[in-house]
Amino acid sequence: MKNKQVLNFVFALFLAIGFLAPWEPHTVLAAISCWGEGRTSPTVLPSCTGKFAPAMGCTATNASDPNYWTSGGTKLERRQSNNCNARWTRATNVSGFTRYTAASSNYGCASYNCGNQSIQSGGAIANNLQVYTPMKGLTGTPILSCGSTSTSSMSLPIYSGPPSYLGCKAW
Amino acid sequence: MKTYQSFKFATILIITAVVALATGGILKFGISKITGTMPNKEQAVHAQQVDNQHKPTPTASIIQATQYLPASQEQKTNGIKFTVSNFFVENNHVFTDVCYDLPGKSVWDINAATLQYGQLSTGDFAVSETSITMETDIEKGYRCLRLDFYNISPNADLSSLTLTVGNIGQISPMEGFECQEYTARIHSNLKAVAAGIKVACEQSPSGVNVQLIEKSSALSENEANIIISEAMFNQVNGPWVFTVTQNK
Repeated sequence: MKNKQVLNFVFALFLAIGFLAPWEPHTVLAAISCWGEGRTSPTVLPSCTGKFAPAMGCTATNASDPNYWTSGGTKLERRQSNNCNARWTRATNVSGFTRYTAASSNYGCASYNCGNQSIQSGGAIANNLQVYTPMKGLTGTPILSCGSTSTSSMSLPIYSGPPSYLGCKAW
Repeated sequence: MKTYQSFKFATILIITAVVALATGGILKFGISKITGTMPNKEQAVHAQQVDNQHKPTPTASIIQATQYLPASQEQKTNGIKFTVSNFFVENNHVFTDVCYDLPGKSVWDINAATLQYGQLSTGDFAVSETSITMETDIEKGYRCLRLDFYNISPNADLSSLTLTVGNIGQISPMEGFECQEYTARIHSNLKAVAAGIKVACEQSPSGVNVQLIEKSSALSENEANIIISEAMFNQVNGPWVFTVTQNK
């Protein structure tokens, strides 16, 4: 009888200490659908390159650069998802007018001109609205983020070549 | 016999506590791994906000001898005070430090600014945040940036510079949350509510489309769209104008 009481007490103690003391509440959230340029472990995930962040569960984290720059009425931001190990470029029309708005994440070769992920608004968009490129999985290859606004449709990619890469930023 | 039973009981208690703590620790580690770094809804919408605790005091930085005078200036327009200081030229770039009030509990960026030098001007600038203090119930928010006007013509006359900050605007919502955030901003805007404005927001893979679906008949479509735009971006217009001359 006494042994049973001891066992009950031990069981209650186990629950109290084990599950309450080291516990911090966490919210279980949706899973990601891609990772960097793809991975096989711990779970197989395809490459994020060419895919849009929200559709893949990739979120720009606080690690995203709080800095930005403007070029010809376009505000450009470097965006990064730590949970998907990928980056992209966001361009906002800050021209003060309704404009076509485009952005490119250029990469590869010596002058960032062997690959790109680019986007252009479907038409002219209001001042302060933005577009963002599909992602590029992180591989150690730097990305050159560029963007532009215009009264008419632009040819992609948006790219400012060497030596100045003016209006673009490598990261 | 009684002593032996007490000793046995104490031993069981200690072993149980150790095993339980280890189990809890393993569980905690496992859950941290599963949840990873995904932010919750609140964090997601305000993902660009930075941690105040790890930011320096919000004062404009002075990094070298004053190249331009006055060294510091203040101006208040539409309720927002700007402080500008420390203009300097380096490698064909013009830098300056600006600090300004944040109009609410979010982050506002400088979206339009021009630098006039001689007969030329540029609106191309890069921004580095030097400090931010978010608004609290007792204190206004405050943000400091270093502006880098990187597109200055070589050999230009830089004896006098005029900085004009055109406006500040609330930061864009995080990707994928645009409709949620813009709709909330519009529906909480007093002017938009009073004008009976209702919008439809369509989220596309690379952006959003916000369209007016209902408004008061006293309002033209153009007037309604202006109210929508103001509510979405909470833009505060200047100008805030500062002129400095080279310190010879």
